[in-house]
Amino acid sequence: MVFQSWYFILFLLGLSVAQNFLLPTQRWILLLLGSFFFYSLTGWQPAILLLFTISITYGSALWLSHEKQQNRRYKILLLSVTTQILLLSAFKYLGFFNGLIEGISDWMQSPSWVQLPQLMLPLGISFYTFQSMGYVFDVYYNIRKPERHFGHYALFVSFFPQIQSGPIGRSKEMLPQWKSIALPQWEMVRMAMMLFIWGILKKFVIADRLGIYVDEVYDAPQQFSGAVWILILFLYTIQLYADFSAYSDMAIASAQLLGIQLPENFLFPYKANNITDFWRRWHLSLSGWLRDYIYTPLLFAKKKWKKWAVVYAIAITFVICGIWHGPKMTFVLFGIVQAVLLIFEMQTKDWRARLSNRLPHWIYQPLSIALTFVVISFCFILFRAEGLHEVKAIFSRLSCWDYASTLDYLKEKNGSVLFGLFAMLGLFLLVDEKISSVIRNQKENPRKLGIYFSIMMVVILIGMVLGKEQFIYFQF
Amino acid sequence: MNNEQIFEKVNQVFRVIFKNESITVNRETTAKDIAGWDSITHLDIITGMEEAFQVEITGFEVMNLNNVGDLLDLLAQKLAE
Repeated sequence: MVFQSWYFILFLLGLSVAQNFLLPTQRWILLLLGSFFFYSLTGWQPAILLLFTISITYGSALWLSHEKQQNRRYKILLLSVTTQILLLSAFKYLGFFNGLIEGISDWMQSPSWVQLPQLMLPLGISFYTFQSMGYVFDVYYNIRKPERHFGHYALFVSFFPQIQSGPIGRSKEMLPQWKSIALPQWEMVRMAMMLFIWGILKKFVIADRLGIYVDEVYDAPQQFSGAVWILILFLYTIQLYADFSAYSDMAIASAQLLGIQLPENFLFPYKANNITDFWRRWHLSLSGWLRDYIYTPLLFAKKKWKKWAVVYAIAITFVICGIWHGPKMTFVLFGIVQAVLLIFEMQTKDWRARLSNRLPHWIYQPLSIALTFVVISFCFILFRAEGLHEVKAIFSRLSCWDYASTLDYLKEKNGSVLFGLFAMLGLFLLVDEKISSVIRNQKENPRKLGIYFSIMMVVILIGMVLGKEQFIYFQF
Repeated sequence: MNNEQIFEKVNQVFRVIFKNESITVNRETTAKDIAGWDSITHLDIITGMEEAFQVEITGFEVMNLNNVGDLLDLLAQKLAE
């Protein structure tokens, strides 16, 4: 059940209304039943697996709290994390190992000696595994006490607005919310509705529209010139942000309608003036999770290495970040490239600071933002391409500046329409922050909100004719 | 070493790390309050404290630090051991 369907909207409104008939301390029951109903629509097997993950992590946290000896606590943590990683690997990464085995067999010119079974990927497994694993880490590090209420904990892992693609919640912020759920005030309901509509607009009108152009070129990489490819790389960068931030906004808005606060996931990432800054703005719930549970422990475990500890921690963290996205070498390479860029920025921090002091701010800042956008656009080839062979093909086309075929493409697509599209995207990136701040402001003038609402609805109605697509991040 | 002396020494370490003599932290200060306090600076702060107080701070202990107050308590506890 996707967010932008009538079924979901009816389901959400039904739960929202039904909450009125329950006491604040009882509302978690309704949300838990709703969450399991929602997740069971993908099949009963994934729901059993979800319940298993909930039970394992719930039990490990309680076990950790009973154990005082540090080395035994460490063993419990290791056991819990290993079990979850094995489960995640079994469903998500067996195909990756099959690919590796095939690669080795090809290289040795012998038939594949083993073929691992390919299991169906349960929806949201990467997200809820990280969320529940984070909770076990929190209990291990004494950041919070274990949750003794099984129902509250089960809801923390399975809460339906976030289970499909996050935001990955933290136990410290999420678990206390289930104890007593207050119904949202009118200002909150209004804000949630505006945010949901803004999400629909970003998905239907921007992401899906761009997807048409992007898919066409990615489906036949050899047919397009370098200039067309560069255009498409930029379009995909905006498509990915519009798509994923749309999903996040709808998840946050859905939770708000039920009286629950989810963490924000984006902070206008294309305003970043370097890659380090980009990772402080992009997929915040994942990058924060990686920072707190992977990067920081690795960094301080090797703190005597000084600067090399940072290099080591960044490298491992971003390889994990890449692998988390999926069982493909392109994602691993994506993680490695990010690590190299971040280490490069760390090494050139002083040099860049001197450069920014020498150049006028109005030159340095836009140039840095534009350069970061271009670098990210190239990195996202690894995100979108089917495999390394496709990445190679794209790079070979990028060096091919065939003016005739570029002109043919512009003629076919109608150059003025493309120009209009780019103007609209530029406008979107410029007004994104303004719109987001207006619709998130509970004290905003209702008349101003009414104007925003009307404009968004008109734009959506125009965009509705462009068809429906699935969210890109569902595949993770 | 009493709490006041620990507090003063902690402030000195911060001033050296951030190369800013005007910095004064308090118990509520967090990374959000000081410009440039990123994860690399965080590593410098912890190793700076270890050298200044001749103690060892483990990664596990670092994970539990939410603000300068937690750091002061940890240092006081380690110095008392």
